[in-house]
Parts: sequence; C-alpha cells; structure tokens
Amino acid sequence: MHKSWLLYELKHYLNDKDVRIWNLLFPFIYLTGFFLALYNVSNGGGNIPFEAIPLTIVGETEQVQKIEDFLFEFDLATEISLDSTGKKDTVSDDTNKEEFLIKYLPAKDNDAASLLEDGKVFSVVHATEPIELEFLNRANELSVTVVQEVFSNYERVQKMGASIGKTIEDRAKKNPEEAESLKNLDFGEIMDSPEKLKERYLDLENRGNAISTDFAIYFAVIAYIAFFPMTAGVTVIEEVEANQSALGHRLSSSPVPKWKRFLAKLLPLAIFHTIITVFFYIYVRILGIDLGSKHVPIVLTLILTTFCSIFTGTAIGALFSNKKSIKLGLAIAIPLLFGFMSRMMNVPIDKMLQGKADFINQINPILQTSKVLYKLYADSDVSRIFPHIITLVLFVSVMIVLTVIGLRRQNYENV
Amino acid sequence: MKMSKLFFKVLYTKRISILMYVVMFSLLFSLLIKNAQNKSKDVTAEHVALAVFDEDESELSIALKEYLLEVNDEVTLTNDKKVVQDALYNEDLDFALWIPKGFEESFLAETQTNEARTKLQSSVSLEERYSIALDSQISNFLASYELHLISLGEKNEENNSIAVKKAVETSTSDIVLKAASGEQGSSLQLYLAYLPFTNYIIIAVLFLAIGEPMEVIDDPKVRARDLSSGYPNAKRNLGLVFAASVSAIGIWLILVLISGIMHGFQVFTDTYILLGLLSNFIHMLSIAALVLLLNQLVRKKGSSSFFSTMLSVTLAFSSGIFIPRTIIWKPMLKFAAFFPTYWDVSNSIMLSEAYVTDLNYAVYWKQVFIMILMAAVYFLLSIFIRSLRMKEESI
Repeated sequence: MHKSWLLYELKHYLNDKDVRIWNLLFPFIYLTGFFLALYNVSNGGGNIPFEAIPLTIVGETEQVQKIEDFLFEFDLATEISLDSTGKKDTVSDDTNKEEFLIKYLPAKDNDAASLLEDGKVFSVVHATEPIELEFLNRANELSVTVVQEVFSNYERVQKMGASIGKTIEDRAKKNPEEAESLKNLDFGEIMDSPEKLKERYLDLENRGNAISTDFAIYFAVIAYIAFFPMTAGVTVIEEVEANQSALGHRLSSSPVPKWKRFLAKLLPLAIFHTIITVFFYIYVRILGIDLGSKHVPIVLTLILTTFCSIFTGTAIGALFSNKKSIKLGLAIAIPLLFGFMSRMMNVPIDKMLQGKADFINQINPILQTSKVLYKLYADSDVSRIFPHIITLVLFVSVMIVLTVIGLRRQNYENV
Repeated sequence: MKMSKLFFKVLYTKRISILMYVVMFSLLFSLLIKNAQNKSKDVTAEHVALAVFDEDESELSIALKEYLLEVNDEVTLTNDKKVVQDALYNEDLDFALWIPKGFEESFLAETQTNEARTKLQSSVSLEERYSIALDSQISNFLASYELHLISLGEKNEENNSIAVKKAVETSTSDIVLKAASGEQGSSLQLYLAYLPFTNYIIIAVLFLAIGEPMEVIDDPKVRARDLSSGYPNAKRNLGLVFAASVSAIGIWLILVLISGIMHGFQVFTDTYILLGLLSNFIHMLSIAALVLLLNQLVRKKGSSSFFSTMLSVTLAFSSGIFIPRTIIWKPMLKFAAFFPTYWDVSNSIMLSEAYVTDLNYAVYWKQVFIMILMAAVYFLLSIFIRSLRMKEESI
C-alpha cells in the first residue's frame, strides 16, 4: 500500500510540466551553462597571471642610464618599441617578455607626457632624487604597488651599496691588515638576480596557494540548485489546504486528519528531491568539477539544503495562503537573492555585509552550504563544517515551526 | 489600442515580480559599485594585507616583521593554517608569512648551504602582484642584512645587531607618487562599470514583462476571439509591438532613474556616459526583439520564465558582466558574441578605458551597429515566423 501511495504521489507530482522543467531539467541545464562559462576555473582555479607593465624613464642621461642598467642587469625589464603606426608594442629582442615585470619604452622628455596620456605607458619614471613615479588618475592600484616596489628596490640597492661600501671602509681603517682581503670579499649569490634571492630566503616549493575565489561561484551555484525546489513545498501546502486548490478542498472533506495528509504529500516529494540531489551531485562529478573527495558529507549537506528549501516553501505556502502570485514570486526570488548574496554572480555581497549586517550571512542557507562545500574541499578536518550544519538545521527547524503555525491558523478559519 | 490595453492589463498582474527584480538588483549592484569607489583623488598604491607569524622572536625576525608591517596593512589572525587559508579565500588576507624558529641562527651558523638554511614559509593569494611586491621587500631586507653581516666579518651577536640596524636603515624608500594632470574620471568610470549589470536585469525582466503577456495574448482562444470579432490581425500585431516597446522602454527608464538616484544625475552630462546609455538603450531594444523572436519560436506556457532565468545568467556570465573576460572559456565567449549583450559590455569597457586613452569611435559605432543589426534580424524573423504560424493555423 505504501509503495503504491508513494508511486501515485510521485506520478501526480511529475505530471505537471512545470515541475518536470524546473525541478528536473533546469538544475542540470543551469549547472552546464555555468560549467561552460567557467571551464577554466573548474579545478580550483589558477594563478591570476601578471602582465608586464609598460613604462618610460625621463631625466638626466646619467641617471636614466643608471636605472636602465639596474633594470636590465637584474632581468626586471625588457625593451620594447612602438610599431610604425605607434599603436602596437613590439619586443626588440627575442626574449620572452612574459618573464619580466617591466616593458621599458625609451622616450624623450617631450614624448613622455603624450605616451602617458595615450595609454602607451602606465607610468613615467622621473629619474630625480628621490625618484618620482607619475601615473594617470585612477591607475590600477595594484600595478602602482608593483612599479613602486621595483623602483623602491632600486633606491634600496643604491643605499645598500653605499652602506656596505662604508662598512668595509670603516673595517679596513680599523684593521689595515685586512684591507687587501676586504677588496675581494665574496658575497656569493646574494648579488644575483631577484629570482635567486627569493629562492634563497623563501621556501617557494612548499608555498601555500589560496583556493581561487572564482571557485566560490561553483560552490554557490551547487548550493543554489540544492536550495531551488521551494515550489515543491508550496505545492504540498496548496494540495492540503482547502482554500488553496480544488484538490485541497476535495481532500479536506475526507476523514484523514490534515497532518496526515500533509505528511503523505510531503514524504514522497522529499524522497524524490533527495534522489534528484544525489543525481545532481553525480552530474557535478561527471562534468569534472572537483569538489574534493568527501562525497558523503557533501551529499548529506546538499540534501539538508534541499530540505531547507522544501520547508521554506511549505512555510511560504502556509503563511501566504490566498496570495498565489506572492507565493510564486517569493519561491523564485528568495533562492535567487540568497544565491546572489553567496557570490553566485561573483559579487562579494557577503563580504560587504560582514561587520555591518552579518546576521544576513548567518541566515543565508545557500551561503552556509557554500562555506561547507569550501571547507570540505580545502580541509581534512570535517568538524569545521559543524557550525554551518547547525545553522542549516536551525533554519529548517524555524521553517517547520512557521509551517505548523500557518497550518494551525488555517484550522480555525472558515474554509 | 485594444491590444495594448490588454497587454498592459496582463503586465499589471506581473508588476510585483518585475518590480522586485528591478529594484532589488539595481540597488544591490549600485551599492556594490559605490562600495568599490576609491575616495582618494590622488594616485595610491594598494597596500598588501599581510599577516606575519614570528616563531623565532629574534632581533632579526622582529625587525623584519616591523619593517614589513610598516609598509603593508597588518591583518591579525591566529596562527592556524586553516584560519589563514579561509582568510585568503575570503580575500581578507593577501600574504601570510611564517618566520620559523632558528631563522636568525641559520644566518649566524659558521657553515651553511642554501639547502640547509631555514627558510621563510608563506601562503599567498592567487593574484601574483601581491607576492611580487612582498617577495621583493623580504628578499631585499634579508639581502641587505646578510651583506652587512658578511662585510662586518665575524658572525657574533654584536655584528648581528649592527647588520639588523643597517638592514632597517637601507630598506626605507623615498619614492614619490604623483598624478598626471588630467580629467578625473573616477565616478564616471564607476557608472560605466555599473551599466553592464543593468543588462542582466533587462534580460531577466523583459522576458517577464513582454514574454509572459505575449503568452496570454497569443493563446489560441484569445486570438480566435479577437479575430472572429473582426479585429484586423495587422492592427492586433501593431498593438502588441507598440505595447512591448513601451514596456521595454519604460523598464529601461526606471533602471536609468534608479541609477541616477544612486550615482547622481550629474553623470548624465558626460559624453561617454551618454554614449554608454545609448549603447545600453540599443541593447535593450535588441533584447526586446529577441524576446519577441523566442516567444514565437517556443510557444509553450512557462517558456518565458525559463528563458528569463537561463538566458540572463548564461549571457551575464559568458559576456563578462559577472566575471572578467580573461577567465571565460574562449568558445563560450564566441557563443556570447552572437548576442547583443556581448557588444554592449564591450562598449562599456571601451568607454571606461576612454578616460585614460582616447575613444575609438569607429569601434564603438561598429558595435552599436551590430546590435541594431541583431535587433532588426530578430524582429524580422519574429514577424516572419508569426505570419507562417498564422497561415498554418488558419489552414
């Protein structure tokens, strides 16, 4: 009997074309669309590559020469020139220009300002003491940091050279017998290129890299799909309440209590959407989107999120009994809004709300699920997800309470 | 007029979901863009958000930490790799540095190879520019320290202190940043950064505002009732097109009004902004024509809400509205080029860069023309398919 009841409810639910399109097909099509657009990000993301910054240097010939020597000696820059149209830069030698921080375009004083205004160079370096770096307004601040660092480096090297020279001189004066050996002091590879220096002091092999924030989009999309079937909950209430549908009206005259009818409608849908969620996760893996290897916690979290969605739908259905357009509007808008606030559109709304209205982040089930997915991906310690799971359980509990309140309120109203 | 009245009556029943979309998303996008606004009018370098965990607590490590935190922004975190990883992921941190125990000792050891030396551990953001800046600062400080140590001769505590002091003295820099004279485009560029987001809203809303009323009006029973009353079919179609255009333009004007309230109406006096709005307007007309076409192609109830959700998100991502074009899969970018959204976003990007370089008007007008062409093709195709269907149904 139970089997036939389950099958009947399932058939009745899937008979609706909208259900087949929105709750069956849409999740897979939606994810596929994102996957195609974000194909490059599907494996945890990669480095955001650095593009060499074009600049020119002006000032006294001797000073300009010193800076040029510094840039070329330490492989910081490659020289470029403009083609005959003045529009495109070309590398003047065979060196791969992607290895360098700077693309150096030699120019005369009266050219420099127009090169900057036309956007041919990012900065004009004035070889004065101290060095002045000229940028256009609204120059990208991070690139300004890099240019500033390169030329700060130049100034430091000058100061360092002078300081070490003085130290050796003082030492030679103090110990004249060492004077000869001090002239040939071996500094080893410390005077080598910036790359070698980095390797000398920093453990680059074991350097930790962040997980791309763009990968958060995937977490948010998957969480959004898990939270999508809110209309299922709305449908359950519509078919139970006498004043919301003809079916509800007809069934209300049966001797079966409302709660039993409610559970009889809810259970098959819950089982169905649980199965869909599992299939959806399998599809995620088939597409090659890497969420890590903790399959069971991931699937259980997604199922919990689906339950949050269904009970949110039942709460909306129970509280807004006669307002069908509002129910439908909310069932579409709430997941979209929560998804949007969980970086689904790559917009860091959650970061903006941090510290100002953090409670909105706390009650956002899609954001909580997204954080669970991230922590399961990034970490071996599964216990880190417990605070978010507790939040989701609290959320579903509140929705169940609201559903009960809405249904009980209907008991005492005229049908 | 009769058709238009019916269209607007149906549209009125959808007003809540349409207004919800328009107001909610345009406010959210505006807030986001305004939040990104740099208040400073001068050229500024971005400071790296840095956390330093000093496990050595030696004279060298303390000096290194103080130096790095003077030139970068300190982020206080517990010394836990998971906490650091979360902070990097949330973009609260750009660079984390661990100075391990025995770091200073490894410099003072009599004999050492590069492999045996205690090295600094780090975790970094994927944005390479942060690590470029920090690696340079760290390497130069330590190189200065080590060079002074060697030049002082004996590696003892006294020389170590001197070397640390010299490293601190020689690591300062007096670089001056200055802005070239010229127009400040900051608030105007922000408005142009906001405009592409309205494309997402337009695509989502026009399917609801035009597609859904069309589904009702093109219902065979409604159509049969009108035609059997003697209402001319041509007048009917003209009324529908008029109503659809008025709805689309009305929604676009609401979006522009909201943007004016959020950014200030003075932005509308700027030439590049007006060109951006023109491109956005043409995009809106193209999308309205696309809605009419898809409505004729897929005459199923509920198809408009499906397209509204799917197409708006797909085009928003593949055209580079929500993510930079540099990370979009190239074939997907090529797919997006078949839709007007791609060309309007290209115009917005070009206009924003025009505050730094000159605007290439030829490219701008070419892209506007492509959108006009797309609008014309969509519209003509929709009329053609509609007339074919009419003939089939009358047979």
